[in-house]
Amino acid sequence: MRLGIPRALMYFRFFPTWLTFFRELDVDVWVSPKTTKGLLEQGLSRALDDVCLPIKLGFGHVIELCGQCDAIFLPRLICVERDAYLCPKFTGFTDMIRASIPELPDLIDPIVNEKSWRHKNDQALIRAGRMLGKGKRRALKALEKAQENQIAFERDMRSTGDPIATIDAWEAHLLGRKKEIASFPQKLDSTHTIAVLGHSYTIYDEYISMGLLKKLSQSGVRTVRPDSIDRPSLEKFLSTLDQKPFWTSGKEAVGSSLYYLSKKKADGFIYVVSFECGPDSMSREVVDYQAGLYEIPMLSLVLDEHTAEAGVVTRLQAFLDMLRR
Amino acid sequence: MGYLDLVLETVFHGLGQEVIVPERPGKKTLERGVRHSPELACLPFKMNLGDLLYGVEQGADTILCVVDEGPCRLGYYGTVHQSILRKMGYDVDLIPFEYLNPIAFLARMKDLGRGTSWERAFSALRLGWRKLCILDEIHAATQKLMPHPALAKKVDRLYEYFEGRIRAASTFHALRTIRKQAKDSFRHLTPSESPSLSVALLGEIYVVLEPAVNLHIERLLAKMGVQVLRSLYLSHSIRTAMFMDPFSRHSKRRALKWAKPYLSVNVGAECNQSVGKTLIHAAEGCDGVIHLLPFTCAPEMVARTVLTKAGRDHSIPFLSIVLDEHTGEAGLMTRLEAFVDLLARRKQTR
Repeated sequence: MRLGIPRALMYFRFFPTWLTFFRELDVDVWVSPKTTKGLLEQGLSRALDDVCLPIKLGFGHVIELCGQCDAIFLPRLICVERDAYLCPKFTGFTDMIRASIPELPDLIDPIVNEKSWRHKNDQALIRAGRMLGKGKRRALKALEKAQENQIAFERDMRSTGDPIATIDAWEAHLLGRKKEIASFPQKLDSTHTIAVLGHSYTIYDEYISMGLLKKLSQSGVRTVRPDSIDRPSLEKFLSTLDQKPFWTSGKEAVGSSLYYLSKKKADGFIYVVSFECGPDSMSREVVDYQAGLYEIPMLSLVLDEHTAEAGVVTRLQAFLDMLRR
Repeated sequence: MGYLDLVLETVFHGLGQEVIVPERPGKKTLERGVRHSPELACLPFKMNLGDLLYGVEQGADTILCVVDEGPCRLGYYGTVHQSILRKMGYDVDLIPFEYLNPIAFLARMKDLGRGTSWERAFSALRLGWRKLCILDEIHAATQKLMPHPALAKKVDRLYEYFEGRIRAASTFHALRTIRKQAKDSFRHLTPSESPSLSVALLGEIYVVLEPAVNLHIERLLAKMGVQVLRSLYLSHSIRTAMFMDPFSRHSKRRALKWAKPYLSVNVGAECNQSVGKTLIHAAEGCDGVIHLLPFTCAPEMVARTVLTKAGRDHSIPFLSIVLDEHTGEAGLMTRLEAFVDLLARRKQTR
């Protein structure tokens, strides 16, 4: 039995939990390869043209898995924390896939809804284990290990200077390709710090973000991201707002921008939005307003399948030049 | 949004507030809204901002906005509107509108009334609500008559007449009389033949209800001799949103049930309803479905994707129309004509 996990959407956030959990249950886990042009085109051919780039990419990754796996893990993510939803497209993603891809293998699709007492994250994973024919006792044990790894991963992400390399190292470790996790210290010699705001699945996917993080570090700029801040201080800064955003991604972007602004820890913001992103269209406006109050410049990069690398580079260079002046 | 302006005007008038009613939304409102909105915001957001700008230019200092906990963007409109207006130099207050808690809701209303009694606040609300229900009732009655060219003009005139009278009415007694008169005058109009095609209209509630945004799609279809079935009414969705009648056999729950095989969880907004209602209409022998959604609306995008399969399984043709500020009437007309022709052919061959 081979279980496929698409390397798309919330994978970038929860892969330590998912990979550890299924590996501990002795499931053969197969993760789709990194995004390529072909993968994206596969997705484009099946998804409707009006959905956002990450969803189209998600389609591509799922199609890639179709012939190679006996089942695909596609949880129905409604809420991953008590006071915030995910975008409605995440909730409907599994159903969209089911409606558009006829050759789909079995789906392992537990509901994850932290607002409901029956569908918490842990219960969802146990349910997924049951769908694969594994008992509850074993699942609980695997879950413990998975949570440990998730916490360690998030700690590493807070301190790392090169998040993509950290993700790669963790992935290799969890899939059993490498024993040790290398540590990546933050580079301290750079003069400017830029906060890169955006969803983990756009900024950590090197293909659709056009290697933004790498380009920034090559130009000698230190980058911080929403996941460089621990959860409690994020929540603390969010509670100063009259109304918190009610999307996980929006909370992260707005909360971390407030943190960096009031602590004066960032010289500029780059907000990476995918075209058609609903939640970000709102939270970007709030971040823009706050950044304006503190007089911190913000560049918003809107990405879609037609975005060309040259255009991104030009805008990035102009922005960096402006910061350095 | 539909007649919401009329209702709120009544309510706040009853509460002793000065009310600024913006002109009916149109191209001008939208242009103004689009200029200051984030480009990826949805159409209702832009339209509302246009209306708010009109309001603050006339001297309004407070926005009252529905505040919700998601996942639809609507619940966050107020905060973003406020920050846009502040950035433009208008210092406005935001009053959240907690519609889920009836007592807090009434207390807010009383608060807004500056010294009105509870009874007065309640009766102002009730009067507004009553007007909404009657308007929706009249609209439903006109729907059957609109596709007949001989009657259309008369129905239009009658409708405008009654709308004006309802707007002006200030007592329950007057409303009762108007309702009775309206019922009588519509009863006299009987079409000579029934229309050949029926099309259901559904989708995101704002764009379905607001003729300025959907370019009077109901009227366009009626002119082609198509019977439009619309089951989304403002009074219905307020009723379900505020749990005013939890035990009704209301269409929403039924629609959710029908959508279940295709959408196992509730995605939010009108997504599941759109899918469910399409299937219900298919079972009831409706000829086709027109699904309206604003550009970038996430829940309706899910519905649209799922409908491609659900529509095929239940063999009902559906046309998804994505509306934004660039939608033109000519383009819409062409698509509607093509769709109606297709439906007519399909019916003939069966």
